[in-house]
Amino acid sequence: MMLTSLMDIFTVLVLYLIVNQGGGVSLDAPKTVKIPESVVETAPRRSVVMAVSNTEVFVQGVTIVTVAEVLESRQDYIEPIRQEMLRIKNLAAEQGDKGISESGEVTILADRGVPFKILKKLMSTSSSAGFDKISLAVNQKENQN
Amino acid sequence: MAKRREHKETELELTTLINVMVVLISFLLLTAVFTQITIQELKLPAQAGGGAAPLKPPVVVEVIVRKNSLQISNGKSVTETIPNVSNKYDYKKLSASLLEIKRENQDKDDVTVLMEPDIDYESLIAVMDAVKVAEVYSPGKDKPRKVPLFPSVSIGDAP
Repeated sequence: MMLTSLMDIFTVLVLYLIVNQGGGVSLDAPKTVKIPESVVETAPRRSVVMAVSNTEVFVQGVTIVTVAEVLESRQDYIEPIRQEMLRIKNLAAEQGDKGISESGEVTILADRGVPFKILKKLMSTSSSAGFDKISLAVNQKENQN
Repeated sequence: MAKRREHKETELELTTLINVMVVLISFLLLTAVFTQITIQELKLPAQAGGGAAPLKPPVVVEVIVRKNSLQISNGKSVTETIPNVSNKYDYKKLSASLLEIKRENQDKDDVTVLMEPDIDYESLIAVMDAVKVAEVYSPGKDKPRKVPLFPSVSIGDAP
């Protein structure tokens, strides 16, 4: 059997796939969140992930409050979310995970239809919990260049 | 002679290696990310009382997103209003107007996007795109050239 060429192809494929996979943090949007498209090319960094669907707010994948509660709240920040973020921060600090506890970064994955007033409350909530570098997650548009 | 024939008949045992490769390839293909998620970074205005503010740059550029128009303001008054075209924001015109402003102020790279409370997230991202990069169609070329405008964006409430 002449398997040498087959092996060559496999090796190249494996190398290509490994290189493509490496580097960068992968973010996963929940199924209910359809994030918009944008032309920016900044890769996501390790951070606390806050996801907002049309009905619920998740922090690190856990449902915290519903969007209706956020809308009803008269305060500038949402207490349960703030508590959760502080808890995550303390936990990260205890485990010596400087990536999260010191950079103070949060990435917001929001659905296309989420109005600005909700985003604004979530942003002020995260800055009140000490996370003041806020990034918005988007899907990369296919470039035509 | 006999030794040489033996050498010729030797074959590499590739079956196990092929098995490993096949498993690896299928695994990597399954976990490959095809839609790449990227992030729009926001520059938050420094909290009030956060030390002495540096000398404020004289030029302020603000983009106000209204329900049915986009407005460009210099911090004090609205300088241009871009009405919606068939219920959509006219991002091209916004980019074109900002390009003019950028030409006059080459060093300026921050801009504030002010939003009304009911504007949805998708429009926010699209406005941020239009504010960060302008696509310039030069004559004789099919593809637009990307010109950076104001890469650091802060957002806030519309007055």
